[in-house]
Amino acid sequence: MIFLRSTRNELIKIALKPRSYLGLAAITGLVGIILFALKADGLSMISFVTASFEQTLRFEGNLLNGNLVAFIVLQMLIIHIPLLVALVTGDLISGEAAMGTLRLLVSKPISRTQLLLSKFLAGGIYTLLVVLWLGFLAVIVGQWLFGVGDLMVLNSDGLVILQADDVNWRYAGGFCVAFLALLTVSSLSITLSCFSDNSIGPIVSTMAIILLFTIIVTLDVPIFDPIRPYLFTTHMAAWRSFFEDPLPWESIKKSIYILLGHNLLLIGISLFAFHRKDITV
Amino acid sequence: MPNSIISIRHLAKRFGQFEAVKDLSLDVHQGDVYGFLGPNGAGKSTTMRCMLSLIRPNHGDIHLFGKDLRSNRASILARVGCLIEKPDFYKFLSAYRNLDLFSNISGKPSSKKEIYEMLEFVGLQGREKDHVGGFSHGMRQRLGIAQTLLHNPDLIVLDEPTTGLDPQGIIDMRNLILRLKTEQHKTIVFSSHNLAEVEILCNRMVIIHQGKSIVEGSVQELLHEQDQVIRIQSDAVHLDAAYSLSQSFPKAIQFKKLGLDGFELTMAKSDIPAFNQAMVAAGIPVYSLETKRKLEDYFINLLQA
Amino acid sequence: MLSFGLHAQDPTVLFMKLVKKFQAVKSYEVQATIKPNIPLIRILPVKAKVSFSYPNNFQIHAAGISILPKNGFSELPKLFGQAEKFTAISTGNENLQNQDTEIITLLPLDNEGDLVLAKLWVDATRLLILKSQVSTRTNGTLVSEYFYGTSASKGLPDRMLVTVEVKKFKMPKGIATDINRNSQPEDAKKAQKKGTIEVLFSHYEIH
Repeated sequence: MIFLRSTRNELIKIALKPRSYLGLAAITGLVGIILFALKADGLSMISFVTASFEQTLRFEGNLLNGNLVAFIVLQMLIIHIPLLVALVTGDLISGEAAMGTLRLLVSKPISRTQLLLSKFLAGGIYTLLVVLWLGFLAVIVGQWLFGVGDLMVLNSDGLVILQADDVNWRYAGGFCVAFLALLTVSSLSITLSCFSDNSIGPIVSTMAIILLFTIIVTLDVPIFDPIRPYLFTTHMAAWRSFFEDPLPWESIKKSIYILLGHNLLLIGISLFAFHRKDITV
Repeated sequence: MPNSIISIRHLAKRFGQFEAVKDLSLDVHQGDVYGFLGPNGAGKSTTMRCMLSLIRPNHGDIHLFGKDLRSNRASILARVGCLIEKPDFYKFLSAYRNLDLFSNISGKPSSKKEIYEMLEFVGLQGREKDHVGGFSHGMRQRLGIAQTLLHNPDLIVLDEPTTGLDPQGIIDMRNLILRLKTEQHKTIVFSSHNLAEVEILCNRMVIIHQGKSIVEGSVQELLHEQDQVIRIQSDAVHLDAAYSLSQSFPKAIQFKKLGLDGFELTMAKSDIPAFNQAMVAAGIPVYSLETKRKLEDYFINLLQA
Repeated sequence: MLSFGLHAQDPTVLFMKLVKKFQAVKSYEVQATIKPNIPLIRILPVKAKVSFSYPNNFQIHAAGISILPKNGFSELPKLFGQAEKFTAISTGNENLQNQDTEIITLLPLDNEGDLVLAKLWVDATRLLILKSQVSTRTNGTLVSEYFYGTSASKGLPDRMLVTVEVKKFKMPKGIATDINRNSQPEDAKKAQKKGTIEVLFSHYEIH
């Protein structure tokens, strides 16, 4: 019960902290801009994609529909959302230390394990809220503005056109995996937060790690081949796999296992560090 | 030890190369108002934080309420209220919300009515919904006291509770501590740089220096081991006569002039009335006579020794 | 021995008969199922409704996205609409779909039009075009085969198979951001160079 009360506490703190709404507002603004741009000139963007095919083929139907718009929104924001998550979750321990409230928390009967896990849970719930809000704006609002239709996805090995009634479950699956990827970011930032007594350090460190790993993933250098499959950034775009045909289930499962493994590892490191941390601030 | 609320044995804590606490042992009995005295860096705060499981000691045992802190942390801390250094709260939350959050993880959550009553008790009625960010230091200190007492703890740990308070605030804090002791029979441990405060409030104390306990015991016993220092304001003409008179009191020692018209003298407490009468009889005017806080001398002497 | 040529019709006459047969149908609607089989594109069959009105207006109504040849179904209607601008030459015979066909090559009389060459494989007996090969300046060469059933008398096919060239397809970089795909692109030599679009027609409503 004390664990649940602590989780409630953490959620209240997140809900009443102005910074929490910065991320949600940023997502709203960014998606709004993208939707506006696509509404104004989305067809020319599609033409860029289909130009090569249009020498001998013609595409009929509503190409620029809500499903495609949602996909474009997700593609564009995949780099930015981790920062918006880390802004809040990276502050969960170090922010308390900076404010001086950590010593009061840790002197309470709640165990450090329960306290830390309640922060992980609250951070996960916030991350879920971010993903749901993004999904609402991208899919629901996108479909409201642009209508529904078949989804045209351009992969490096070709164009896939998915029928409209075959898309929603893919988005559901894709968002689940995207949530897992962002949860890993949340866990990473909380872990780094355990080693810091100031707010900004864990946030910047989280983004630095994501950027570094992303560069390693995209650099086509053989020396990184052994580690590349196990970096969590390799699997942050795993949600796109739900829009391939046939669905690469083995690849998706592998991504899920690796992301789950990262989360467990990060929680383990956090518990170890937090239990040994001397609260001197 | 019977009725020992806190029992610390051979406590040691090192931060890197620095030994904050070397080999500290002490006992706090039920109903004590126990003072931690020591200069900055002596190990007072480190010891208190070890008691509250904020810091992991490298060595030693800590027992509270007869139980080992390491294996009974939750049940022990549910009976402890603490205020460590300056009171910090969530500035973006109201006073009520702050207390509500902390009470939720204090063992038994407090009801809204109890929180409001406690805020009234500490003089913050009407400010329940105000953000703590707008509170003065004194108001935050009072909120800190409210947080400490809300779950009716048996042991109260205060680390320099009067720091930063105005004179009225200091008086209020002292009165509160006395009330908690006499009316509610709480056991209180507090540290302070204000030696007079410790002398007034505490019945037992420990002086810590360089991570070790120098002396521990009853304040009254410690004071009776030492003579009193009295300060007398007379006039410049009679200082020599006062000095000569003091020589006739064998136990009066360390005559020291203070300015042009005063002097200081160490003597047994029981000799003070007789010396005062002797001065009057000798025609030496006594404009004021005060006893210097003996504990301050005691403290300084011990440290120098 | 009689040469086949003695039995072949005059290509111009044959062509004009085809034009006349085409002009007899002013408008129709038909249910269509479009099945593209094109390298680099994966798409399920799409159901559509095709509307035609003379001389060469086609409207395709589909619930989703469909892929059609560049000029849709209008290659032959355009050709028939400009019949007087072409000269027809007989260029042999070929057996297609178990039928003897006469190959008519149509050459434009001037060099200004988009269409530069057309070949028709004609079943002269039933007056049906079984295969066409139309070359245009803008869209290259399009080869289509036609299969007939219940609407053969009107010259309307049940099935059409269009072959398209794909060797010019290129994936635009920077848009396809599946950055995690480590597999290398297919060897260009092994890549298919042609694709097909099969269209099945059913339930003609001829007006």
